Amino acid sequence: MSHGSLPELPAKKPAADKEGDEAAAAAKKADTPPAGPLIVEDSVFTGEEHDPDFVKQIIRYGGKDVQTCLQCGNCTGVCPVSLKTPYKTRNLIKLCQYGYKRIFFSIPWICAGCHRCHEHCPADINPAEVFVAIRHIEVRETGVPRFIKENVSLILRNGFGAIPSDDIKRYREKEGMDPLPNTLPGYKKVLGELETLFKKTRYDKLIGLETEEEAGKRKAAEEAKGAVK
Amino acid sequence: MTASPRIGVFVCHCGSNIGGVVDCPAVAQYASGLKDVAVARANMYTCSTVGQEEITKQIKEHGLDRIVVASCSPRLHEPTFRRVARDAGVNPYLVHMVNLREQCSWVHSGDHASATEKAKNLVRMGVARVRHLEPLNAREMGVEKRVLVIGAGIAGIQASLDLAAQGIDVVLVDRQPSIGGRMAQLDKTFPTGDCAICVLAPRMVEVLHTAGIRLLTYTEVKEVSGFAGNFDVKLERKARYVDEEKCVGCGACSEKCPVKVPNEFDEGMGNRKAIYVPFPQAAPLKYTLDSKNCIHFKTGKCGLCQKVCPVGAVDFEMKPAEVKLKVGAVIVATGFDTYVPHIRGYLGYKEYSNVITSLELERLINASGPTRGEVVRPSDGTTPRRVAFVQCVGSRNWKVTSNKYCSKVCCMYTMKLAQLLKEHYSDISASVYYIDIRAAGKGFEEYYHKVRSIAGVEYIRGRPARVTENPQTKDITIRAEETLLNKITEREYDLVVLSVGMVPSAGTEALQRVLGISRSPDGFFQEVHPKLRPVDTARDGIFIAGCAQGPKDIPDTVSQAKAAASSASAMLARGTVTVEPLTAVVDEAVCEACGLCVTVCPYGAPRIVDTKEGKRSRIEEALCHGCGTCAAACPRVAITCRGFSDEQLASEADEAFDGTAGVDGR
Repeated sequence: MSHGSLPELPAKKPAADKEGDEAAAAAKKADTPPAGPLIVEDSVFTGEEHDPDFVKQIIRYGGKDVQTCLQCGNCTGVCPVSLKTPYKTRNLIKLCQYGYKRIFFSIPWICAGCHRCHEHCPADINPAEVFVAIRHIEVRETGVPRFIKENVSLILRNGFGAIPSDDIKRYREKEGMDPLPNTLPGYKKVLGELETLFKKTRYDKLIGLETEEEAGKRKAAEEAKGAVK
Repeated sequence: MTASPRIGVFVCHCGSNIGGVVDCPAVAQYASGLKDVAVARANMYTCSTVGQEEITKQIKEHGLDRIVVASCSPRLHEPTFRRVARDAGVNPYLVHMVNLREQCSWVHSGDHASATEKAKNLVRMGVARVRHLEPLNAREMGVEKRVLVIGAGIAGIQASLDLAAQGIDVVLVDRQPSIGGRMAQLDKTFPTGDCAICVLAPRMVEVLHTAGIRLLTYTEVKEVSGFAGNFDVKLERKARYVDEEKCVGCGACSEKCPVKVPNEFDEGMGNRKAIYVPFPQAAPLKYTLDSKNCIHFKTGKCGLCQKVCPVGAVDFEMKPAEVKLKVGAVIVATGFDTYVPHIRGYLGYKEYSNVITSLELERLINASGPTRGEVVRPSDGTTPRRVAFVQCVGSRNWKVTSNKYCSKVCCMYTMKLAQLLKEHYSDISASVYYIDIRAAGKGFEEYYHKVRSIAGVEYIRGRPARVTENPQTKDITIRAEETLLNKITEREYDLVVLSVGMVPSAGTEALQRVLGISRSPDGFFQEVHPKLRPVDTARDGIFIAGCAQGPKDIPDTVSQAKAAASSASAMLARGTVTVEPLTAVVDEAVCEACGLCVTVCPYGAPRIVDTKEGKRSRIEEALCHGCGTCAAACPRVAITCRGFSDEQLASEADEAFDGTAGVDGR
């Protein structure tokens, strides 16, 4: 499992990339979450994972006090993604209570941010907000996840965050369209303003934007290592 | 003042509480040099027997006539030292306490030298004040040896019986047509399985036949004025349209009555007539006509009940009647209502017919209930085979409702209901969705064990997330995370029972205004001290018992009712109440009867009266709390608060500022 707080499931990985079969297999695996204990590890917790400051840190980053959670499971029951992930809302809040901060950085947990858990929580915790706080904490401590860097860089270069897949490009050409939507001419001025905004607010530094050249180099290096899955 | 006073000063170490910070011997040494101080001593514990004996000894030896005790807050030991002074022949109101603990050592623990200096100043101020105190005498006033008990559930019934057994007259009122309260609605009681009405009904009958108890049902409390020992009470007897004296309870009227409406006593699960008794064991067995649903009151026709009544008890012209009483004490036992799970789209109550509350199930499973003890699905009248209970509905919720508290009884009554279902129907399955099980009480954990093992009730740890109905079968599906399995499940049930919690009964807020007592944030009536004065309210002479004070089970309710009865009788047994003399008094030579004092007084103590010299304000001592509001407001400075006169306070302030404050003695 990859590092970084990737709020996406293995199941959602684009099936059109080279290792399509492998991704499909991963997706199938993720559809049947493992029963039993939450964290399947080949070692026991030693307490090193424990961060006694985590609860307070979540509050500092805008979350509520998770200590009052009764572990009733109502959040999990109403969660729209709970059936698709082994990491249930209630489990994640329990991890917060225990202060297992670093576990959050190493598992592909997910929150859609729908706030249904907040609507139902009898302890008046807002798990969705807690997860936003944890994302903030993770970015502060481990840096910005790669996919965000990529997407924001793409927005600045192309005016949109996602590049259409090869299938879609072919389909567009078949329909007599340009393979890529030509957003650039119309929005060139806006993109310039966006760039200024990013620079003035130092958002570019925070995210660590990469040029096309840099992105290409990085990808090549990663492919050479075989790190891309 | 003829001779100069002889003041004794006693500085308390209070162990290390004061002595650890303030140099007490130095303070005593300093005090002995002050004007009129005959003797000054430092003691380890002035409140101990040894400390008290020391005061007595010094009073005798030095002929002391005024005492300053420099120790803790007067809230703690002022009564102690007043008693010591009184026993030694000194007027108890010539004792003044200087607070060296809360107001000095505890707040200045970091600076011993300054704390000692401040202690000296405080003692000097106290000595200045005690010099100006005047001897006062507490008045004893007679009490009315009668108690008003509001609410005739098990708490009110028990308190009334206990009081009557001690020879104290009781007026027991209830706004329902029958006594019995919530307990009468229940089937069995946990954990013993006693039939509720079987143990309650004899008590209800006893109330009817006890000479000292005057029972007024269908009656509301409208006004309670006066003070401990002497309350004036106004009650309203609602129009019952049936003469209680004549009615023999034969039921001929009800049989003929053509109107059918949901019976409140059966939580709407069954019907009653417009003229009715709520349940067969009702006491008194007197019929009540519900004018809202009666055809005669709507159209002027019908009148069948009046025609068939063999004793002519039905009286359509009856009007509400006012009853005025004098009582010495009041016991509030107004009980609880069950929470109504009204949130649409959550648990499906009142949306899906097969979702009912626990109290509704109590009525179904009760042999005297609308189905004669048959548990049926409201949708089709069949016997359910799969029943689920949902715990903590309207309790322990910091969000959707404001009921943050645990209602205490739901875990236990669910065990009881689940076990009863299992006993009645061998092939029934019962599942309980819970967050925590709280079985703390005598025999409760053993009962839980039994319910799980012998009765085979299934416990599922998780709060239901969604409740849905199959539109064809009317079966109910509960989706929940079973937290101990880490699995989300959807299970189907024939009947879902919501274990609803307790909320203050409907009239609580109105009664709070009538009685002038306080409520805690949960809405229930507030006791003065959670541990040491659990049945007393902030208004002397008014006591609380049962679920009016907070959720509790029957044993706790009965214990509390007995405690309230005991507290009330202890107050009345003495025959008198002591009225503190620290009250406001009007100088009638100065008063111009402007009436401002009447307006500002929160207790209704001042009145404008006619005197030989014209109109004057006069303060009823027994009503006065000595708060001083009137004294501060009086534009003519005609009102003085005894024990807090301008002279007494100014002398103290003068000392604080070395006589430079410029206080002119006003």
